[in-house]
Amino acid sequence: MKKLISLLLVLTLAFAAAGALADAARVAVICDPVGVNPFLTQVVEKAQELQATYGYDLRILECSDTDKWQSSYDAAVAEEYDLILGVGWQSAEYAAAKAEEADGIAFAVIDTDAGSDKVASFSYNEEQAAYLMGAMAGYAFPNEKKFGYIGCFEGSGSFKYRWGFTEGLLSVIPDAQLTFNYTNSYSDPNPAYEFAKQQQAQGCTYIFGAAAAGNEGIFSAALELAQEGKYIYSVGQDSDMTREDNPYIISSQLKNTGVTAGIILDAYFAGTLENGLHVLEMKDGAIGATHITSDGVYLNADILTDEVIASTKAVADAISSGELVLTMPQSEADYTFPLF
Amino acid sequence: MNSKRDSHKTLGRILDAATQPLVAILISLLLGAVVILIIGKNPVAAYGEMIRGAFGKRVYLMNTLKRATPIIMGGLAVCIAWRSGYEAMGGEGQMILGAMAAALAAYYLPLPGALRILAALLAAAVVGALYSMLSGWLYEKFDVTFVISTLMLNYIANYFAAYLCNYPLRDPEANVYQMQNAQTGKIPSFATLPPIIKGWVHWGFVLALLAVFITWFLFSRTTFGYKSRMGGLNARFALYGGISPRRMLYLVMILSGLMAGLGGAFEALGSKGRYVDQMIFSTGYAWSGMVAALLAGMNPVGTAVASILLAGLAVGGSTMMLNMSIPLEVCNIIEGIITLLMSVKLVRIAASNRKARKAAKGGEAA
Repeated sequence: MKKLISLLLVLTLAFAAAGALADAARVAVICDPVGVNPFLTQVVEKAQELQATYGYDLRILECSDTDKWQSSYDAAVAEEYDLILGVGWQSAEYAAAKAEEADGIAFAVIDTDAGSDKVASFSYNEEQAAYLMGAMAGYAFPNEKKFGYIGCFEGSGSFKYRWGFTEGLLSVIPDAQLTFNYTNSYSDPNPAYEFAKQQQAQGCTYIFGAAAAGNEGIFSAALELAQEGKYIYSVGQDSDMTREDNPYIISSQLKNTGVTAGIILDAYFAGTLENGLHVLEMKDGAIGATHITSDGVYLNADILTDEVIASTKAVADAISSGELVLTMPQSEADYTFPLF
Repeated sequence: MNSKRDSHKTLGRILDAATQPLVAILISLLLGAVVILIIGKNPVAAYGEMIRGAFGKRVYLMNTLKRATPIIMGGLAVCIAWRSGYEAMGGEGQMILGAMAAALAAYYLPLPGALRILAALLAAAVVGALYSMLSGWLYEKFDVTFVISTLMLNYIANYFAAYLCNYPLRDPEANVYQMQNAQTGKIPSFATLPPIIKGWVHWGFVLALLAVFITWFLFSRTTFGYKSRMGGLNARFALYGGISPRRMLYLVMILSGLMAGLGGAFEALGSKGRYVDQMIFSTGYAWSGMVAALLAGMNPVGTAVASILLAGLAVGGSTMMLNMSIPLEVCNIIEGIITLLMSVKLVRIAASNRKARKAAKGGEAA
């Protein structure tokens, strides 16, 4: 009898487990190829981490070209995933279109505005963090006049960063001048390496690293130049990139897409995910700067002195409290960068 | 007796033409299976998912046909140029400019529905043809090799289009949180290529099939095919036969560019509803078209079939990745292997064209 009851219990548990597995929510993340780009790795890692909490089935769809965004959205909808989370601006249009025809599926996008009341859009005021980095550069290098910038792509997409950094820098060093270079990639460190060396030769001691994973090229150049007695300092992007083996990375401009993914997943499973545009700011903890709004792995205290940190923190506080409001021009055509 | 021998010959030719692509696809799939096994997945199940994801549901099949549309047009552009002896690789640039021209015309021209679509298609065809003519002109006037001129013009077109959709012609309706969207304005729905039936592929696919027929007809049922080949391979001989090689060169380049330009237009008007930065460059439609044309031995009908197959590989990859957690790169590896295996044929065609031209020049010198 005991054996029979045990068997029944085991069977019941097995069926319950199978049922739970079959009923598990299914989450699809649609994004560019993840690689080592922290903008994407943060989302994937967060989604994987929260699997333990919510027990959902997670699939990552990496889109290697613009057309695959559409076919990935079509596939995720056809396979009836419960939550489709798009990361990057390419997701906006497809999420909005699919949300119109797919009832019962939740759609969320990160780092863009789908412009739909059926999609939860999470975007950022990145110019706040960029402004902070500009101010930090000004406080850390008050005697410099020439500053470098190495970004991914020239264009409207990077204007927020360029404008924010420039304005932050000018707020401390009003006659500062800049030079801009672009890697045309989110992950290629080679052009960043070359540009860093060129900008150093042009007289830059500080180079704003806005080339995503390509920033590694700037960091390598900094280490190499240091051996020749030439010093350049830079910052990471998206996640904290400071580390002990490279003191020339003094901070990182943070855009914590992982925090955003967490906000979305928590809200979805709590049943509180609201559609429409959500703009995340410094006060939400989604954007900021290493050593200013959050701790980092390594602090180069010779450059980021207590005074520099205190001054930059004051700027961060002013932005967070709303005392300092950053109003960006609508278009790049309405703004003139002080170039050298 | 003779007709029996002829039919045997025809069958032999078909088998001969079909052998290389079939062997190439088979070897590619086998090598792909090894890659799938290495990452610890079941290749049979994975390929099953891929086929299902490409053709198994209406939405998948329509996506495959939609993706195949610009590939077919890119393939036809290659067929026309290569069959005429010009190894032009400028389909990508022409497609980019065609897509941009169509997107801008459909967005800005103050014309009613169907007329606006026609104007957009015309703009794409003209721009594609003109851009193609440019490489023809460089070849004629300065002896610039087609491979070099067309490849360089591809880059110029891509960066030019990127500039336009990032700066002066960026979506005027984008808000501050859509500033990263490097794209032109959304074409109103009445000016886009509508689906054949709701939920089906857009009319661009039908037009692409029409283009396949026209190309086949031109090369198989008119003297154009013979004339263009003569013009490309042996200008002196062509001239002797009353054919103007210069005229044929420009005619071929116009036709080839027109196909590619229209391919871009179909993508912009039927699929994206605007020009999106890198929409042609990142997808490699023109290169897939070249692979399709090579797979089919420059036969327009075969090119269309091969284009659908290649599009299916890419579209099915999304479902394979979704349901089997297999990276999309595996799909790219298979396509890459096909390209590699086909390149043997590419080298052979290029070598035979070069040989023919050399022989013609030798004849001229003598």
